[in-house]
Amino acid sequence: MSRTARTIAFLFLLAATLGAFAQDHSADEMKIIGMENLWNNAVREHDTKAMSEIIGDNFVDVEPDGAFKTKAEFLAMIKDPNVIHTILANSEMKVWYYGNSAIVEGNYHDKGTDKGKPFDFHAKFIDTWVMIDGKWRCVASHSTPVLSK
Amino acid sequence: MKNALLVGTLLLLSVSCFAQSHSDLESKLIAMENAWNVAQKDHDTKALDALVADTFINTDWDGTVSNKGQFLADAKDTAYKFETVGNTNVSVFIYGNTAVVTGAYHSTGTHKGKPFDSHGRFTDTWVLINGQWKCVASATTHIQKA
Repeated sequence: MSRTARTIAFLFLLAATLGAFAQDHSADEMKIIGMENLWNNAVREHDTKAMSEIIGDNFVDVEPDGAFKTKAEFLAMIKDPNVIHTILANSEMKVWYYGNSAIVEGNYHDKGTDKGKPFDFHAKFIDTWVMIDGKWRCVASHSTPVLSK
Repeated sequence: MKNALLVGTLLLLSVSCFAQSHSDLESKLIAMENAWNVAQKDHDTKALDALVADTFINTDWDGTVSNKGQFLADAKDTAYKFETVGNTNVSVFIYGNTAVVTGAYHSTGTHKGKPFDSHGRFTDTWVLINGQWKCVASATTHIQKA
């Protein structure tokens, strides 16, 4: 193989490797965004089984009012049939990827009723995802109300 | 029997080393959280710059999101004068090269001469980047006092 051919082969392999890396990275990002959307479905449908698969055992949560919840407390909260979500949707989600972990930052709009009393608010969230035993799990979720809206 | 004893001893040593290293890391991250508060109080952007990653994102208590540059510019603003900044009920959760630190904070001081007294919750995510722990995301939420 000539020197030029070797160089071309090397560049081709390098491009293929970088391309594969970028693709993996992008696939993980899409998977995590998909899980963020599944999260909302699980909350709307009070589906604690689905939610239990999305979050890690040591999951910690901060609600928009500053309330702190463990995994068990969070699951008990979403199980409550008195809370009915008519809208629960994320927007402007961004993912920061760090190999075995990722941060998702975004907005959400939550509208519905709690024991018949209406609520409607916008908040920011930051979720921390970690690859645990080959599966992405959310290990921390923090919500902050957007005061200007 | 001799082999079983040896394996048992090695296992105990490994567990002990693991526990020690986890505990050391927890202490280190808590110390970095405390250094953050001191740096914020002193408007020490150089110290803060070393604590947060280049891709750092911050969600402030009012829902304002800032990147590293905006966060450091805010920290530099001397219109905020902190008298106290302290954390309580701090918990550390370690996941290999990623760690989550949660807790409550209380800060008092003045903003443009107007006093403030703020209680809230924070969640900070730290990642080991190039051999150094850096905070990649921080979020705070006010707790309304009854």
